[in-house]
Amino acid sequence: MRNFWNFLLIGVSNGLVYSLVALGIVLIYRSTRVINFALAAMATFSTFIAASLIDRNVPYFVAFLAAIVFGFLLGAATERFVMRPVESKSPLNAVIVAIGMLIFLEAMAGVIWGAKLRNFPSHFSLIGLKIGGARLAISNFDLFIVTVVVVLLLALLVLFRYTKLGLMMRASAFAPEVARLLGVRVGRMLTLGWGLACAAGAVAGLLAAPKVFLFPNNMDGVLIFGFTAAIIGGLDSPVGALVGGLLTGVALSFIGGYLGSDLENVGAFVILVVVLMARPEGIFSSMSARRV
Amino acid sequence: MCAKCHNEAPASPTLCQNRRMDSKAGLSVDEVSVRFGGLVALDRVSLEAAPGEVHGVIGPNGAGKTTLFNVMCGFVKPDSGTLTFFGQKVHGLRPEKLTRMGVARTLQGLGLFPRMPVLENVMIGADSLAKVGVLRALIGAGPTVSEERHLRAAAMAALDRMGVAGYASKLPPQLPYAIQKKVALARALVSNPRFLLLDEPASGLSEEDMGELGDLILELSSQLGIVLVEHHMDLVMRVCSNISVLDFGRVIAEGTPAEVKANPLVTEAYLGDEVQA
Repeated sequence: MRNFWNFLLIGVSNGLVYSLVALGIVLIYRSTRVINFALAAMATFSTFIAASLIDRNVPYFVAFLAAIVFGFLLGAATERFVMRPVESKSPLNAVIVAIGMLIFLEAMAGVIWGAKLRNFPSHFSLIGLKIGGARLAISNFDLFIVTVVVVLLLALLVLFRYTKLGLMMRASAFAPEVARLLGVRVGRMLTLGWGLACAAGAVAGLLAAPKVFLFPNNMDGVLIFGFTAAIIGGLDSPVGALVGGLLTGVALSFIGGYLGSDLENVGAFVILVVVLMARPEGIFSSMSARRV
Repeated sequence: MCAKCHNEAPASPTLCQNRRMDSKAGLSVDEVSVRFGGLVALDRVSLEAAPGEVHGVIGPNGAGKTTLFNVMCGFVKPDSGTLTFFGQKVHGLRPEKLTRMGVARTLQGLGLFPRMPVLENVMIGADSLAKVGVLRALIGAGPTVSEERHLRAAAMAALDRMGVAGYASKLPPQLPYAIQKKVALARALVSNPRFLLLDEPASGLSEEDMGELGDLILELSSQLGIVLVEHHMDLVMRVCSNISVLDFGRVIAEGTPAEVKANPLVTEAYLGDEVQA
């Protein structure tokens, strides 16, 4: 029984990271109908920035914030200068460009920082907490993950629900033409949306790196789990991204714990296929399925 | 607000000396042509709308009325010809810029956001009143929150003006069509436009609602310029001071309602060729 609770807690902690990746995918998908596959590389790149700052004795939290700001700028610049020119073309073009960005950024990370595995400091202990005499599978770092993700989600909730800017971003995402007609600067909202999405990706990268190590494509696996989470959530709902991430994290933790950790990737694909077959519009989507 | 000199609310429109009906104060469309492939949607169309008047655009289906509106609000780039708004050439301007210059438009399909409450729908229209830029909004929550309150108040006032403030928290699909129309109109007016382009505002309205709409248009026209595309001739003849008639993308007649009514070309466009007896 102790195993069960441990797997559950690990699942929640990992799931929150997947939620962040899913959120990064959802924020972009719902305004542009593009799946940003480059998110993995953007997260890794931002994490490398933090790692090299920490190497130069910059305090952990300063490096953490710097990486988030870098992620934001990288995302915003990608939208403005790379994605904008293909925006009016078929979404397939944008997806191909995103995959190109993924390969380019991962290769650049390899050129700059080298391709070998390295540690990324976690600042908080990774050793399981002790309650009574029993050692739990979650650590101070897992509590840090929970705190960061909850704060970030609340901040985004406030932004989207209670500010003018969030209202304009929602309007731009739902009906860009109408929003334009009402004087909303839709282009800027898109740039901002990509910035926020990639900042969320950067946070996911920083939180995942102590567990999966840091190397140029360390986030590829996490991207697949995050993508699964986004699909479960319905691709256009931030709340769906959170719940999808938790479900994916917990399910994979049980699969890895009871059936063997080699099966986690397989498990993610099985979940993905089952969800796409049974409920292609996801659990939380307000969209009806599109017929093609 | 005076359209020409931007004085805040002169005591009465006539007290503002700058208020002259010159082209610098209005919208003018000059020799505009639009082609979609081989189809000529607009063929050297010219039109001049002044503040303080209602300019009607009528014509049979497919005459190019909506295309003309799409050009005037920046959705469609004309292949040739120029647009001059408030004395400024506006070639190639995007809709959001035009809206910020003071040109508002309602859509035939209303274009309300179905999943946002009525109040938020109208608040989006008030965005162009906003002073806080994206960067400041992200950095400081203070100005953003007070700004949000300001937008909320402006939106409530606009809804109140249309008499639909009671529906502020409802979602548009829950409301009767006539109410939705008023919400869309409130959304267009909340930005304090100098010009309002109305695309078939009467479609789907009852006789009674249409009378109310006519009163409203006349009332609004004392404060801003209106261009009206409409099929209901009673309404058009009642509220318009000038009318342009389009047929197959060309202006075939122009003038006061009485002149247009008497023009045989107009009757022909609507009813077909006169039968030779």
